[in-house]
Amino acid sequence: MTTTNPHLPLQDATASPSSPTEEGNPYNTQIDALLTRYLHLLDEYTTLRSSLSSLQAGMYQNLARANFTAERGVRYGKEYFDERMVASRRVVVKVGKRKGNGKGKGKGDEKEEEKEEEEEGHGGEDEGEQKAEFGVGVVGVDEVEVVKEKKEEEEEEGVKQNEEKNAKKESEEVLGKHQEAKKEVIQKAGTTATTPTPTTPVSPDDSSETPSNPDNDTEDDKEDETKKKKIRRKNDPLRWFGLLTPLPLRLAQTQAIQAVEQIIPRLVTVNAEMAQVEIEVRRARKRREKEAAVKAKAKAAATAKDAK
Amino acid sequence: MATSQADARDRQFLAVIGDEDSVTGLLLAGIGHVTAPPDSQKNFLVVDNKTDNAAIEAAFDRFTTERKDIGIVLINQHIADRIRHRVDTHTAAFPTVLEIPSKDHPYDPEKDSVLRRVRRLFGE
Repeated sequence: MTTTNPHLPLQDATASPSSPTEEGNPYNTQIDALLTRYLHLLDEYTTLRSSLSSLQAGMYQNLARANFTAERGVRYGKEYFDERMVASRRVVVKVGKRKGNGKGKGKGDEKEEEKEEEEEGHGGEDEGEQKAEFGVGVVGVDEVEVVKEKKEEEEEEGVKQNEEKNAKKESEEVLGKHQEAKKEVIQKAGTTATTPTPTTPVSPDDSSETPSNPDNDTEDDKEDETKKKKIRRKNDPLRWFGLLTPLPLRLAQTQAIQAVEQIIPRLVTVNAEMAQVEIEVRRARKRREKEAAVKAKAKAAATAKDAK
Repeated sequence: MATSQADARDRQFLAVIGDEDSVTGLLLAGIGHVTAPPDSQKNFLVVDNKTDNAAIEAAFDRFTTERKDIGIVLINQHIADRIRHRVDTHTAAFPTVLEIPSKDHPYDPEKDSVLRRVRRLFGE
């Protein structure tokens, strides 16, 4: 089904590009090259489409099977969704310039095109010149958290680096003078401040509270670890539906993962690439028409001269 | 250029608008995300018989224009048909919209926006 229909326009494709003007026109070869690339993309698109369809059909079948064998009244659906779910598979978009993308055309054509694009320089072309590549990958929740923590640390450190050092020294000195009773604790604070742990950055205003922090540090770390473990366990969506999930449901999950990780990002990338080639084809066609019009005018002028 | 690149990098979620089975399946793959409590924004919408077109349209607008953290919007083809005018007028590169088949409505190439674009290119 899916493979037969899209191929219908191909017949038009072979007929249309070379028909309007004579052969040997540089624009024609360029358009032909673009169209062959476009057809390759279309082929990939249709095969991806059919594999997505079959994957999803399998997924729906497995879901139905899981629901059929489930206890009465249980349906694996939205009632079980976790309200605090966190995405473990995320999109990665790479946006690059299209330069390295010219598979189907000669180098000369590419250069010409780039020049002309530069010359034209319309506002709407900014999007068209970019090449977007989509990917979907697993992101561990703890990874995300660690990254966030690191970022926060870096930001805090970046902003306060110098201030902090001075402030800490000062505060330690001040505290050392005024609060002799807490001297030992402050020394602890001094040692933790030299080793970069996440909770140590303290603003100068809070310096009076520093003595209480180092004691909590180890406890906080432990809490964080247990939290992360809990989140990791929670983060498998299968767990929403209970500890022992039926095999069909697990199969449905693997199929969904395959679709999300492999097929969908590729489909989207091919789609973007096709849109890009469409723009290029239209542009080349316009140029060809312009040239043809100019030639026709010149011819008309020449014939008019000859007549005179 | 630079702004759109940064814009693309922030787009890290997939969003789904679909019937219950489609959404359940895709969420099983781990794409579901609910933002921190004050707004608690979901990146999915379960559409059933009772869901009206306005709600679907609102979700589509939210995923495509309001939220800047969504890179791909997946929508069941038969639901996309219900808000076809909105789906077809979405031409921005990010987020990209992909129509996917559903349980009761298999993929129909006639309605596929990409293949309609192909026809337009060759039919001119």
